[in-house]
Amino acid sequence: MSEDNIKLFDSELKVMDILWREGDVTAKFIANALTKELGWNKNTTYTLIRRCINKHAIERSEPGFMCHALIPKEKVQEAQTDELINKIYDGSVDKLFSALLSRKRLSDTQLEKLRKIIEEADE
Amino acid sequence: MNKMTLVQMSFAGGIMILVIILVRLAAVNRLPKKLFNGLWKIALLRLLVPFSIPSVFSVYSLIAQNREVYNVIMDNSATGLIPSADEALAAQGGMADAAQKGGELSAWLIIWCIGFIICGSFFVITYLRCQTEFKMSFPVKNEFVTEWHGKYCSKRNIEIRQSGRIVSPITYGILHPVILMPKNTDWTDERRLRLVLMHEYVHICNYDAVYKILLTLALCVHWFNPAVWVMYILSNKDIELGCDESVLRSLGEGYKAVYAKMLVSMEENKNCSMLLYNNFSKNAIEERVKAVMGIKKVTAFATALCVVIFAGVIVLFATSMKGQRSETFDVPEIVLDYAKEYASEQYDYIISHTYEDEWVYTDYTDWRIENIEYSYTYDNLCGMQLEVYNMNYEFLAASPDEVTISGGMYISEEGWVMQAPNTCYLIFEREGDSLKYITVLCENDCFPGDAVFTEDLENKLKNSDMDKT
Repeated sequence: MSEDNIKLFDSELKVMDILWREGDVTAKFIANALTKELGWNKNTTYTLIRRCINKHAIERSEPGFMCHALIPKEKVQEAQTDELINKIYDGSVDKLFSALLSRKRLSDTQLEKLRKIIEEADE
Repeated sequence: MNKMTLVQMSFAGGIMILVIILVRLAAVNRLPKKLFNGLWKIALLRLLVPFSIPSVFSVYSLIAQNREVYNVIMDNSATGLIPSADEALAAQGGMADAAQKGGELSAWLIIWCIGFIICGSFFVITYLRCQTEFKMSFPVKNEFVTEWHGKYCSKRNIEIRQSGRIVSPITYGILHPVILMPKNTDWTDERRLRLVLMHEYVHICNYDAVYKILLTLALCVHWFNPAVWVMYILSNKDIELGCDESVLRSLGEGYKAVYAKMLVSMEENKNCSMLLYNNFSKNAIEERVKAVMGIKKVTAFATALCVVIFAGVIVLFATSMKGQRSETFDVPEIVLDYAKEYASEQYDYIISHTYEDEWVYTDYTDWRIENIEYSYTYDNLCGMQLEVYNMNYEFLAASPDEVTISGGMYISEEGWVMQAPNTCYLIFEREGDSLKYITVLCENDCFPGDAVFTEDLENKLKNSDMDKT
């Protein structure tokens, strides 16, 4: 039942990040993690969790206010890349690609990864 | 010190604001912004602090020459707030409409409350909404920022954070100030970064957050006064201009061009109306650029001029007129007004005759009503129902030690001299619900209701043709 066009702000993405990293956890866990990482107080984190629930990005279950991510990370990444391409690279994937390549020297690991992606795409 | 009512404060503040506006129009780019910020702060004090010091130089003494204005404004009604229209009419004596008793809640009080609540709610709700958003910000991990932070922020516990929800830098928080930068800040442009951080830092150092809250409070309390709205807008502008000035003074005039260019580039980024926060790129970038480029060294002449203007405004407007040190008494307003008028006249007379007449050789500086109370009613004297009020008034001696007390006189510890206790009686005619002033009678050794007093009163009425039989 995931919506296709859920727009998540940076702060909400931080909440989702915890869920994507750790799997299903309690709201309290998320709050503690974000306090450590970003200095947010509990109320702030809880407000964000509530917003994510309203946007159908998180599902809440009892007991203990367990949170479950309804959208996979890949979906969000995909949506954001699309937005980036459309907004800034005039809808052209090629432009984004050449921009990425010209930014800095690619490390060996990155080159290896690229080769793998091209191979898989060829199949 | 005198206690003031809301209308008095608002009126006084309004006049001050008009003067400041004129000064600003004449000299906004020629005098340092510190002056205007200081002036606005005095006006703010006048709007929020209900006390004043009497002085003969006060502008309000001049205004009070006009009796009508005096009556409407210097009202000391028991509700302590805006005089109702009926009370103002009754003070002019003799209108047939019923006068409201001081204890009732006047309609004006309710209207003011509604206005106050609406204004207050608007600001509070906006503030809380913004606070929630700002709390969802991220820390900044950047070498330059960390270094800058270590240099300036340790004393006051300032945090530097960033948020994707704002488009230009904002400062908030009083106990734990936070400089909030937009997400797309160019962290490598150190020169520009330094200017922006400096600007926000100056806001924090000046406690502008507190100042803005007080301004907003004054606006909510005086929502009915258009001058206060103008002050709100102009003083917010001056906060930003003053901040620009401080930054450039401390960094040096060489940065003027860079600073101005940065203001221009911020022009594209405009935040929604966040009136309570120190916003880097508020309206009128043009005005700020002009002001920035026009900053020059402060001359001694300019400084002297500022001091003169500042002191002058305080003396003229922060003080109040004489005669206000009267408590509230449980008598109808019209009675108190005439009592004050009489006492004031006696005071003016004695002031003008000090050292000239043989019997007046004490320097007095102020007058007040010490007591006034209902005394007696004549049901039918000369065809009228008359109410008699007894009053005592006092003059304040400049040097209490030098006052020679003659028979009947009385002096209090603070130097208030009562010439002749319990001798002054104000006579009013009762006509239905209202009172009409008839005359004043000074009597020694007799009291309302006894033969001597009554006879004197009758004679006075007949002689001045007020007899209605």
